[in-house]
Formats: sequence, structure tokens, C-alpha cells
Amino acid sequence: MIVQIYQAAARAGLLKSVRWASGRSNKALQVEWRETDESLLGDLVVGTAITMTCPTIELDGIKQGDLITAGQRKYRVRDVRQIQDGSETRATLSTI
Amino acid sequence: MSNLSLREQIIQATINIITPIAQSYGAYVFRSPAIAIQKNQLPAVIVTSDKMEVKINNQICSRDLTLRVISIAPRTDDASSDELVDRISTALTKALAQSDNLGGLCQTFAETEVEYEVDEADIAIVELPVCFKASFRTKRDDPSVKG
Repeated sequence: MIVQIYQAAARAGLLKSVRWASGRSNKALQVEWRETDESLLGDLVVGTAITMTCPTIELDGIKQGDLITAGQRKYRVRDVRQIQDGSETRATLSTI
Repeated sequence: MSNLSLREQIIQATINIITPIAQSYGAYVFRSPAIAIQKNQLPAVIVTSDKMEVKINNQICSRDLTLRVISIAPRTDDASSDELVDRISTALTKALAQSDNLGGLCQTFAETEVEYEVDEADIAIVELPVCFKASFRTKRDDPSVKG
């Protein structure tokens, strides 16, 4: 079900195209992409929390340090969490 | 004679000493910013004042003011940001130590504590706060006059 929802969102142009590189594999994905302000160092500095979310089945095996490419920009996976009932996975990214 | 309190004069003297040094490292200087600073304003040095302890003895107030001088730099790679924030903090600490008690405004001006913290969102940021205690005396009835 969740896969169909993401496919519908992709058809509606709501998702972002990225490439996920891990080891020798390199996979194209359609993900929900968010860039939101986040307080750092106890509110001293504003940073940006960058996350991408998609069905867990699409991100099976993603781990810290994997490389994500979105357009010309490259990111490193710094955290991976399953969300909702585990059917979706959210990866938090750092810029490179 | 300044009608600013000695406390305010000490904070201003601290900022005046560190500003050119911080700027030589490309760092912006902020005093107790009310809103969070942006990533494009890094590296940065933030000066804040904590509580001031006051002891009264006859007509003299002995005051201990804690100042925090916080050096912050983005972590572009593990070595460089730690080194940058350390270089900034070291230069600032050295200048303040050589300031002759902030030009005679205090009896003593001494480093008391150093911390270290890293936080991360899209970029990692390193923070190195150094605390200083400024001990000075004023007249009991006028905090702008040395006692």
C-alpha cells in the first residue's frame, strides 16, 4: 500500500529524484525530501535538517555513510530511522 | 568619567580586544545574540555575560563577573574545524591574558573553565566556550566608579 502511495505522489510530481550509492550499488529513488530549520548548540546557531523518506522496501540496506546525490549536490547519510509502522524509512543527511 | 557601570565597561573592553583578532580569522563577533545566528555567519565568536556575584564590605562592592567567550566553527572535515576553533579560541585567550586585567578595569581577569561541544544537522558545528572571571571593585553607591 505504501509503495502505491509513493508511486502516486511521484506521478503527481511531489517527490524528488535522487541516487543512492552504497558500495558498488547505485539506485535511483523517488523520495519525500525535506529541508527544515533546526536549532543547534542550544539555539546559538540555525542549521538545516535534511531528510529523505521513502518506503522501507526501497531503502533496504541503507546505512550511515552511504552517498546520496540530488541534482548536482552530494550528501552523506548520517542517521537512518524506520517511521510509522516501519513501512517507511527516513534518512537524515549531511552535506558534503 | 564614564557613567557606564564597570560591568558594562568590562564587557565592552573584552569585545574591543577580541574583535580584531576574531576578524583576522574571518569570524563574526556577536554580543549575546537574541536570535540564533545563521550558518553563513560562521565562524563566529559570541560573548555573553553570566551572573555577577556581589559582596558588600562597608562602602565597597566586590564583584565577580563571569564572561563566556564562545568560538564556533563549521566542521568541514574532522581536523580542520577543530583546529580552526582551537586557533581562534587560543588567540582570544592569549590576548585577554595579556590585556593587563582589561587595562586595569579589574583586579583579576582569569580563565576558569573550557568546554567543547559538537552538534550536527546538514553540517557539523564545533563550539568551544571559554569562561573568564572578572573580579573588580566598585563603590557601594555607584557601580560606575572603582572602589
